[in-house]
Amino acid sequence: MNFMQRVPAVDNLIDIVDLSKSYRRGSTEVPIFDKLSLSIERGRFVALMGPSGSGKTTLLNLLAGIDRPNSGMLAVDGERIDGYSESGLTQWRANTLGFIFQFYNLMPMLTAAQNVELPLLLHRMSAKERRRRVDTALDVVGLADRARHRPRELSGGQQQRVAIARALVADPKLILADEPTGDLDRPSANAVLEILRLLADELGKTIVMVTHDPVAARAADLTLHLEKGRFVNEAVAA
Amino acid sequence: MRETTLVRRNALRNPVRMLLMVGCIAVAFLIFGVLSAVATAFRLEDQPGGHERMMVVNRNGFQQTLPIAYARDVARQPNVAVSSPVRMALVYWRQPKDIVSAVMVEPETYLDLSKDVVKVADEDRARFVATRDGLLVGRALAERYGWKRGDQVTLQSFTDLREDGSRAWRFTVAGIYTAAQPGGSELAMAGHFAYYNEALLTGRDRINWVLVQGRDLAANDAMARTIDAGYANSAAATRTQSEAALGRAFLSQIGDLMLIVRLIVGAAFVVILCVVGNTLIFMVGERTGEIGVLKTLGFSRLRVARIFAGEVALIAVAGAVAGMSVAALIVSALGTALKDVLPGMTMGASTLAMAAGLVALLILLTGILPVLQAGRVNIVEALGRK
Ligand SMILES: Nc1ncnc2c1ncn2[C@@H]1O[C@H](COP(=O)(O)OP(=O)(O)O)[C@@H](O)[C@H]1O
Ligand SMILES: [Mg+2]
Repeated sequence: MNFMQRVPAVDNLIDIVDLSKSYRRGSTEVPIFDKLSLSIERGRFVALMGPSGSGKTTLLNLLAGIDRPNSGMLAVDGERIDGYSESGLTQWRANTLGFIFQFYNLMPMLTAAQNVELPLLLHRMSAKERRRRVDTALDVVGLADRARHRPRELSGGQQQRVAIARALVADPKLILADEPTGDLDRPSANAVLEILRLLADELGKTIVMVTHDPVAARAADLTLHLEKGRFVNEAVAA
Repeated sequence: MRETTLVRRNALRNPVRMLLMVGCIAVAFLIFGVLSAVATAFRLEDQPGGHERMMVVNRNGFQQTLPIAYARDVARQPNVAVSSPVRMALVYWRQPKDIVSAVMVEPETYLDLSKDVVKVADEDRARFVATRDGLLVGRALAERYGWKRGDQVTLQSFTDLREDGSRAWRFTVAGIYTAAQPGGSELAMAGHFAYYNEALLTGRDRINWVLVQGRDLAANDAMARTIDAGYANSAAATRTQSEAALGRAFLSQIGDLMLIVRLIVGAAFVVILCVVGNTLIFMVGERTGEIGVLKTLGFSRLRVARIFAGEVALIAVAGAVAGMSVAALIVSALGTALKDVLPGMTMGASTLAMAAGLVALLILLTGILPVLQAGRVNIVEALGRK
């Protein structure tokens, strides 16, 4: 059953139609996706699961506009990004997207607050507005008291929460996360999931999270299972 | 936070490497700063009046001598207004380290020809002209040795022997001159050729050059050819040229010095270009993952390149400022120590301007590859590399 056909009239943030992607390895083309289609409603928190090499990261990269499809349509909030130039995509990411990495990827020489502020360098706004946004983002992830700490003075879980604040600060429509709890212990992972849940529920963010962890997947509204470049089932969580 | 904060923090994240790079660059600029100041001090200022005044010298260089008779011949040339024979004398006072460069001259013609170089009060001039063993001494030299008008001084010649077997000439300080131009030398002196010459055992009646002032500047070249043609087949052939041309000949030797300076400075810069360039490329390679993250956040190729360019510029400017500051200290100390031997050793505006140019070039040459490399980083590959 096709997900898009099942929910025809809803407000979709993501629409993928007949998306194909392959990599060239030596002289052979290795197909990752062949005419993949998928839609995700605005405000949904979606988990993406599947075995290693099934294409989860590739799909996330395509959604983030940091990798390009060979063919097909890819629209976010009605905006087709599959034909954008590199600089068009860069601009689009700055305005539309928050990205959370498995290994946090904070700048080691910047404080937590400065790391959170980083995406705001790409936006024109007053210093006061900037401060307000950074404070709010740190508040949301419960790290207001760690604003002046460097990443190495923070635990893994705290670093990931700073990374979430960074993904959040420019108020993007879409947040993508590649195994955000993959490197964390259970309590830290739970804290991260709780925050992601909050972003979807309270701030209306659409979230796509790649995960191997069934517990993490249960925090999402919906889990998509990817296998060899195809969705094998869709399960809506409680 | 601004982009410059990011640049600064990036630069300081590996302080040891940063210091090494800054140090490298500083040393190159130190070499440049000190050598330039020394080379500048060697350069002759454009001598005023030099264009009209001619000099008749030995074809083999002014260290070789000419018979005094040449001076009388030259004076009879139709285009010659004033001419004056000059003999160099290298002498010292009391100890050999107190070297003074002196010229033995025909006072009146010499002073007439030297108005643009030395300024002499009328009384001093009259006294010098009238005193057979008189000396006209530069003000700075007189101050250094505490000489007053009327003082008797005995000078020893390094090169000339007297008939009585000694090397000592007694002189009377007859007058003091000052430089006619600001910054001109006041460390030389002049005596009477006739007085010096009559005591000589060897090399009597020989001079080093004849100064000539032509009546008609346009006729100077023809006059020079006539004079030189007249001595072409004699034991001491001459070369007659303007002081400016002589200055240019001297400058060409200084030109060689400048070439050596440029080679040394150039070598130093090529070395830091390689070292710093290599380190920067390595640094960008090391931060590929971070560049991928920045680009994922929406930092454009240009912006990433700009951040790295800023870092390169910061390192280069820090090195240049450090190097030139130390060079300025050294130059000022050297200038004080060598103010008599090599006056005018300062770090001039032209040196600073050149240093600024070098920094720009350095940033461009060391920065271009790493900056381009940073801009080109592919996000997918960069993020895969964890
Ligand atoms: N840049 C690339 N070049 C070639 N093959 C790639 C590249 N990126 C991913 N792949 C291949 O695509 C497949 C899917 O990879 P990926 O999306 O990373 O899977 P997952 O995240 O689900 O583990 C794998 O077989 C992987 O080897
Ligand atoms: Mg993956």
